Amino acid sequence: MTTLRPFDVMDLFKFNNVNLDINTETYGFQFYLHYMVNYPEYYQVAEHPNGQIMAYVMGKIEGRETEWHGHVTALSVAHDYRRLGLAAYMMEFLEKTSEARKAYFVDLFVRISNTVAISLYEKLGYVVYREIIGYYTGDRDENAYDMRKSLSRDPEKIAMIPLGFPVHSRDVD
Amino acid sequence: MSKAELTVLERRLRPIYDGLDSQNYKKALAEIEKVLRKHPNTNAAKVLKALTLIRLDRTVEAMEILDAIDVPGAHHDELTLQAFIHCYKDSNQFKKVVTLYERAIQVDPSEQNLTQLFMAYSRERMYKEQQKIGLRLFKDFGQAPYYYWSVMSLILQANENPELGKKMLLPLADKMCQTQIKKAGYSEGSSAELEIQLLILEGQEKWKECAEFVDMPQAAALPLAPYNLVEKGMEYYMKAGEFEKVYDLATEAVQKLPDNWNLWKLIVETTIKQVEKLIDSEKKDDIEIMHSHVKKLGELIEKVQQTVNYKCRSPYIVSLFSMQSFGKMDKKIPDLEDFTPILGTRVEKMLQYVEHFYKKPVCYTDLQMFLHDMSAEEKNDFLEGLSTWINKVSTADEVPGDESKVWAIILTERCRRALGQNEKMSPAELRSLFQQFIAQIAAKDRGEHAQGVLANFATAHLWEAYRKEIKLLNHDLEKFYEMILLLEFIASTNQTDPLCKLSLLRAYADLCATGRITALQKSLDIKAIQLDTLGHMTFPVFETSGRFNLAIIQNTQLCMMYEQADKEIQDCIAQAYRNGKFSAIARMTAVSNKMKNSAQKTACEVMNRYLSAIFVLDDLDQIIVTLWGDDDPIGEKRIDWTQLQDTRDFNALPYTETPEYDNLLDDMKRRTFKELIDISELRSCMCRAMGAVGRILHENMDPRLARIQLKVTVMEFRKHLEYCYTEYPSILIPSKLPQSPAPLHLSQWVNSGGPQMILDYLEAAVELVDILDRGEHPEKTLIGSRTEMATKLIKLIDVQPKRTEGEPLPPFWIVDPIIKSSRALQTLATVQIVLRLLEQIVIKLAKNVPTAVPESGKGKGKKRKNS
Repeated sequence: MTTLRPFDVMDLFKFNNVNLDINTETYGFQFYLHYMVNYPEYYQVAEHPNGQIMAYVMGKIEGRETEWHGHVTALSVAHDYRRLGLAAYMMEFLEKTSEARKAYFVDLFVRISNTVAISLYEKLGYVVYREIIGYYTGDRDENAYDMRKSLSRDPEKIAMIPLGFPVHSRDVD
Repeated sequence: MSKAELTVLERRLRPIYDGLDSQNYKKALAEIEKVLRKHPNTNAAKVLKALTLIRLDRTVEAMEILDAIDVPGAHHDELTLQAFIHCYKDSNQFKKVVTLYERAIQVDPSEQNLTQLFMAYSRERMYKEQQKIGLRLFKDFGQAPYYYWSVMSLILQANENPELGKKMLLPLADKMCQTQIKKAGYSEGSSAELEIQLLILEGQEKWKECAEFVDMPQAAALPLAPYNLVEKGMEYYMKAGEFEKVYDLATEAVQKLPDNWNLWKLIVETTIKQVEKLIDSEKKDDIEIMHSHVKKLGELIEKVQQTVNYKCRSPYIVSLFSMQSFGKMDKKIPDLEDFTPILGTRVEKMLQYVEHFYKKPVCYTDLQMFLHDMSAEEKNDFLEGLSTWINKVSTADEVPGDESKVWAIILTERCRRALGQNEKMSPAELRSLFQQFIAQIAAKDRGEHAQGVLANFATAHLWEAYRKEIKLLNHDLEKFYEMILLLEFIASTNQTDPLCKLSLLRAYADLCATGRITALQKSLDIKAIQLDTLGHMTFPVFETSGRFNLAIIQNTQLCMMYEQADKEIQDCIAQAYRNGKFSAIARMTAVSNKMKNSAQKTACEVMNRYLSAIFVLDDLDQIIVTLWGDDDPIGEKRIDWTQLQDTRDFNALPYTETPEYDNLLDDMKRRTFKELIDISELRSCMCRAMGAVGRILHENMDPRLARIQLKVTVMEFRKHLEYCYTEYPSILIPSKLPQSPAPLHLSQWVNSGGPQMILDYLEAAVELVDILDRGEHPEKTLIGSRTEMATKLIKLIDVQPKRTEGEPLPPFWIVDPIIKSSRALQTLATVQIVLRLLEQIVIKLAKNVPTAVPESGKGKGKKRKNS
C-alpha cells in the first residue's frame, strides 16, 4: 500500500512517528519549506490509509553539465512501517523523477555507521563514491559516505567511479 | 542617499551591529551614543538605539524614539528602514512595518521599497492592498513576475471570500492571466503562469478544465512528479463527477501499480458513485447494472490478487475496504444483501491476510481499520481462527534468527486486545500474559524492533491497569512503577526504539521527575516543530514541580522557536513570490496562521510572563510591564482565546485498545485542550490585573484610563476564576491515558485557595485606589489582619499527605506535595508583588489624603505594617 503524494506543509504537525527515529534529523521550517517550494516533485510522503505518515523522501536536482544530478536529502521510514520495501520504492520514485529531469546520476550522503542504510543503497545499485570527513556535526560527529548511482544519461557509469580518497566536508558543495 | 554615503554610514554603524549581534547591549548603547555625539542626525543610530532598548525590554522608551522618527514625509535610508523592521518585528508590531513602507513609498517609490511594502502587506494578509502594489511594480518597472504577484493577490482574496471569488475575483484573475500570456507568452524555465492558471481553475472549481489542463504537454513543467500529475488528473475528474472515466483510468493503472492504494481507493469510490447514481431506480436493467458494477469490482480484485500472489498488500486489503464502503452506503443495493459470493467473507479475508502478512510489523495497523466493522459473531469466528492459526505457528520449528513467531504473537495479542479479550481476563491471567511478554522481550537475540513493539504492548497493559484503578481512588501505582522499570530497561538497552523513551517521558511527567524528563528530551532530540507538537508531554511539568528556572528556560526556547518559525515561513512566502512558485503560497499562509494561533505557543508565552514577573524580576517597573504584557503599549493584539488552535500530535504513542478507547481519546483531547486554554487565560487574567494595579503608579498613564483598566481586569480575573471553580471542582482527576498531555493540575491550583487569595488582594487594590482618590483613609479590614493572612497562608502550605499514624506512605506519595508546594510558592510570590504594589499606591496616592488620622488606624502606616 504505497501511495506517494507531494509533501504538504501541514505534515509537519504529524510526522513525529517518522522523525523520532534516531537517524532522522528534525530541522527548522525553512528547511522543509525550501524543498516544498522549490522541489515539490522531489518531496514525497507515503501515507497509510489510516492517515498516518509512513515515510518520506526529500531531495532536489542540482549541478551543471555532467554533474546535473538528483540528490537525496533525507529518506526516513517510521518504525511501524518498516520491512515493506518503502525505502526502495521511494528511491525508485526519486530516480524516475531525476530521469524525467534528465539528470546524469543520483547521489546521497549517509552516516558511515548506518550499515543498514548503506547495504540497502548498495542493493539498489549505489556505490560509495567517496568518504566525506566531518560531514555530520553535533551530538554525533561522524563521517559520511557519498553514494552514487548513474542514470540512463550516464551509460558508462562515469559518475560511479570511486574517487579513491576521502575529502573534507568543507570541500564539498 | 548615494551608494558611497550608504557605505560610510554602514561603516559608522558597524560597531553597533556587532554589539547587537553579540547581545552586548551595553556596548551597543555606548557605540550609539558615540555616533550620535558626532552625528546627531543619524536616524539609523537612533532606530538602532530603539532596537537595543526593545531587546532590553524597555519597549516604552524605544517607542518614544521610533514614534518621533517614523512620521509621514520622513525620508529614510535603507539601513534605517532595515533597523525599523527589526524594531517592529522584535516588538510584535508588524502592522507598523506596513505604515513604515506606506510612508516610505510616498517619498521614495523605489522598487526595493515597493517590494518591501508588498511583502509587508502579504504578512498582514492585506491582499487587496498588495494587489495594487503588485500592479504598480509591474507598471513602474515592467517586470512580468510583478504582474503575477498581483494576480496571486486576487486568488488569495478569493480564498478568503469564496463567493466573491467565484463571481468576480477569479474571473478577473483569469482575464488578467490570459491577457498577459497572450502578450508575453509563458516565461522560459518557469512554471509560474501554469501554476497560477491552475490555481484559478481550482478556485473556480472548474474540475474538468483542471483535469484537461494537467493533461496538456506544457503541464509537464508544473512542479509535480510525472506520476503525481496523473493522479492529480484523476482527482480532478473525480471532483468533476466523471466517475466512469476515473474508474477506467484507475483500473488500467492499477494493473501496472497493484500496490498503489490511491488507485484502489478511487476504484472502490467510483464503483460506489456509479451504483449510487442508480440506487433509487426500480428498473430491472438498472438493478442489473448496479450488480454488474459490484461484480466487476470483485473480478478486478481477484484478477489482480492472482497476479501479485501476496507480494503486496493493497489487493487484499481492498476486499475489506470494499465491504466497509458498501456497508456505509445510505441505501442498500436492491437484491444484493450478501456480498459474500463476490467479495468473500470478512473473517476469511482477514485470516488470509494474517496468514500471509503477519511477519510485517504493519499487519496489525492494516487490519485495525476493519476490526470494528465485525459483528459479534464475526469477532468470535475471527478470534477462533486466530487461535487455531497461532497454535499452528507456535508449534513450527524454531529457525535461528527468524523472528516470525514473535511477530505472530504480537499480532495475535494486539488483535485480541483490540477486540476486548483482555478485559475478560482475570488479574492472574493478565499477569501471566504480561510475564509472557517479559519473557519474549528478554529472549536471547531478540531484535530491537520486535523488542520495542513488545515493550510498548506491555506498557499499554500496565498503564491501563494504572488508569483503571483510579475509579477506586486506589491508583495501581505498583504497576506504574513496574512499567517505569521496564521502560528504563528498554531505553537503556534498545538503541533504535524511540517510543519506549517517549512513553517513559510521559510517565515521568505524572511524577514530576524533571531530571529524567530533561535527559529523555535530549536523548530523543526533540526540537524545532516537535517542541510544539510534542510540547504537551512536558509543558507544565517544570512549573508544577517548582523548577521555575527550568520552566522559563524551556518556555523561552519554545517562544524562540515560534519567532523563528514565523520569520522562516514569511521568508519562504517572499521567496515563493520571487521565484514564481505560487502554488505553495496559500498553504504556507495557512501554516503561518496555525503556528501563530497555536494554543501551546500562547500557553508558553503567558506562563513565561507570569513566572518571570513573580520569580525573576526585581525591579517593580519591569514587573509591571511584564505582567501587563508586550501587547498593550502598542495596543495591537490581545489574545483571542477562541481562535487558538490545537497543534498537539497525539499519534506518536501507538495504542491497541477497544473501540471505546477512541471515544476516551477524543474526550481527553477536547478536555485537555480546554484546560490548557483555561489555565493560560487564568494566568493571563491574573497577570493583567496585577499589571493594572502597577499601572496606577505610571506617570505617563492617563489616571482615569488606569483606573478603568484596573477595575475591568480585576473583574475579568474574578469572572474567569469563578468559571474555573465551576469547571474544575476539587474532585477532578487529570486524564491518565498514556496519550494524554502532562497534567496541568488546574483543579488543584484553583481549589488551593491561592488564586482566591490573590483575587482578594487585587479587589482590595481596586477599593484602596477608590478610597484614596476620595481622600479618605482605608479601613484595616480592607486587606485583613496579619492573623487572617497567616491563616490563609497556613492552609496554602499544608501540603503533607493526610494519613493516620503508622500508615505506610503509598508509592510516589511525594508528587502531590511537590505540586502543592510549587503552587503555594507561586501564590506567596504573587501576593508579595501585589503587596509591594499596594504599598507604592499608598505612597503615591496618600498625598491626596488629609493628615488627620481617623479612629480606625494610621492609614498609610497601617497598610505598610500589614504588608
